[in-house]
Amino acid sequence: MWGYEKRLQYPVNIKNPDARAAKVIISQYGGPDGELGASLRYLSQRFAMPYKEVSGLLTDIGTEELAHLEIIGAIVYQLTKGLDIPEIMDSGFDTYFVDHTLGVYPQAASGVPFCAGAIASKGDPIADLSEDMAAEQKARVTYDNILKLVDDPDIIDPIRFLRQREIVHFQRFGEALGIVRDNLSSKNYYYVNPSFTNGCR
Amino acid sequence: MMNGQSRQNEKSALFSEITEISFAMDELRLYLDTHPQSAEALALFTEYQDKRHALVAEYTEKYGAIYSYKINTENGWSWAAAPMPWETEAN
Repeated sequence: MWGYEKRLQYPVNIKNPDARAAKVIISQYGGPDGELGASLRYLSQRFAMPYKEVSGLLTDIGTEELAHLEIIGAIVYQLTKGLDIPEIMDSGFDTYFVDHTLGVYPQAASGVPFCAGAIASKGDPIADLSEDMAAEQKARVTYDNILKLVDDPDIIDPIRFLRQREIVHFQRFGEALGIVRDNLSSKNYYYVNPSFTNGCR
Repeated sequence: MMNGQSRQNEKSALFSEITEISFAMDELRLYLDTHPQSAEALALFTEYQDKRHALVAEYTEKYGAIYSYKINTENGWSWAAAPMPWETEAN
């Protein structure tokens, strides 16, 4: 169960609409390394995570990713608010507009709709946490790329915040992987899945 | 008697304080998930938790609800009164 707080985790205050920027930033809403995938990845993985500290961490980071999804949605919303047709056509936003008008839709910058194929929930703590560490790095790279493509300080500020969170989450997942290793039986030196031991031979 | 502008400034300042202290707690929560023995982090989390509780109570009473489980109902249903968080006026 979640409660809702009517506030952004980090403020978004964009004065100048910029449809071209919105077109690339939407990738962090519904793209392959975006915040929707991040939240679903961690919130799905936690059910098969046998260690309470780690399933708790997956819950807390998955919850924060939902807040990041909301921040990206707010950025896209503010960047496209009040656009007129010539601006939409000149910025290349017309290919998005034709399908979604100014609605926020989970898709990659390329236009590919959100695909759960970009996330994994393998049911093995070592595989899942290794996936999570890679996912945080991939999201960090996407934010690095966005920062190369935008120059408005109102956009750069929240994007830098989100980039920094990827680094912190990477660090925490690395520590969680250490917790999993510490919990493995000393006889399990081949890292056999501790989440599924029925029929192990 | 406060004029409209200074009321708005005070409201923004209180809201910013809530945003800041909440983020500090978000960061400490993740740190404590993997470092539950850290007395320093635990003390900070406890301190911020108490402060945040007071700040949110003050904000809710003066300006309206932030949290879906703490909504003022004395004058009817007020949950929709404040702007949604993605509007610039809410930030």
